[in-house]
Amino acid sequence: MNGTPETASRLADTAMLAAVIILENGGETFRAEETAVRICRAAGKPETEVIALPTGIFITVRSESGSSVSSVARIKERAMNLCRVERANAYSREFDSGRMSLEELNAKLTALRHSTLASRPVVALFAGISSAMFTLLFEPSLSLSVLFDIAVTFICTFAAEYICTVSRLRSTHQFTVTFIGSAIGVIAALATGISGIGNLGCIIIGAITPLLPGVSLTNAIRDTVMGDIVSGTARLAETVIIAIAIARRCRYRTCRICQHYGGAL
Amino acid sequence: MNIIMYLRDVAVCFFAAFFYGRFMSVPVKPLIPSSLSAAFSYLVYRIIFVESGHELIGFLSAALTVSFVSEILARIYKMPATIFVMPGITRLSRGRSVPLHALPRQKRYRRLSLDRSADAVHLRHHAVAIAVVNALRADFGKREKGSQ
Repeated sequence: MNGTPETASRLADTAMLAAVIILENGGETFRAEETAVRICRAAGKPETEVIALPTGIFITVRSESGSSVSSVARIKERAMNLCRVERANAYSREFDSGRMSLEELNAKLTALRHSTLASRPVVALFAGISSAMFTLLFEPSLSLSVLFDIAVTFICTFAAEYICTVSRLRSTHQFTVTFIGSAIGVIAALATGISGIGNLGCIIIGAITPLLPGVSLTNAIRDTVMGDIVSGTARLAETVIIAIAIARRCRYRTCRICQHYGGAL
Repeated sequence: MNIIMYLRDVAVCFFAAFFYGRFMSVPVKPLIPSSLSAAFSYLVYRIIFVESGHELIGFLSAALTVSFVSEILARIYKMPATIFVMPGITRLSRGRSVPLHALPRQKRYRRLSLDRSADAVHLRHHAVAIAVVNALRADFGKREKGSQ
């Protein structure tokens, strides 16, 4: 690869694209940095500096003529798609091993970024089944009321996840999305309160599982251990805010309804 | 608890992790190994909890198990370890204090404070398990080409 500023610029754009895909889809910050550095190093630019944060990324590539090319990207939307993280990671490794050219890598990454996601009802269906299974795990014994709990959990999660997905598509803030999603407590409390059967605790714990910030927490720990203190702290703050949103919403809605209808907690 | 109950828990946990993985858009290839890892770690938790009565030790052992197995699977499949950690670790979240927010105020405080503390301790164990395994990986694991 020659060392013209144009080449360095194209390389910086490609490395940036890979890092942005990883950060936008729930990957760790250190992985985004590693991927960008790996691409630049494989292209013969070992003196590349990358700083990634959960909300942005900076890349500087030095060309052989001595000039440097810098690129900055802001991460505005973050979702959860581990398949894209894995693909971006795999493409960078293929480029590193020489099985792919820079143009091919750029084209594949661009296609990956604009690839269609699974349809909203399907995603909500998976979340509903998963939550129903989690509820079943919490139940101490098998009985008829367990079937009721499973059905209510499925409906709550399906509705919440569908609403959350639609809200995310309309660029609603993460806190609001979680706040809306946690309103599932209302349906659960209503169902158990009116019917008088069922276990409100098991339903709520099962139904909030898809909303839990598990990936943020895991990434916060992994980033901190890998030395990215700033990213780790930022992700930890995000985790706490999401957890507060879930707990607050469950508290206010279910408290009111339980006091009115009773409840099997 | 008899063997049937253990098997039921393992089977339910496997399917819970499987569908949670699909929900998180985990690629199809590592989905079954990650679900098996989740079921195995949950079995570790249940056996220790039921046989010894120590929930925290069971939780820590299960979290360490899922972290170790995920790192091994990540190296085998050459994929990010997060793909394998997430379906397994989610089930180990406690979260028992959340529905207690629904209790009337006067009943809530004592139970809530106890369960909230227990949740916090569980969360710390979760963090410790992942941190220990990652620190070991960073210090002793060879950074082979293609490994995570």
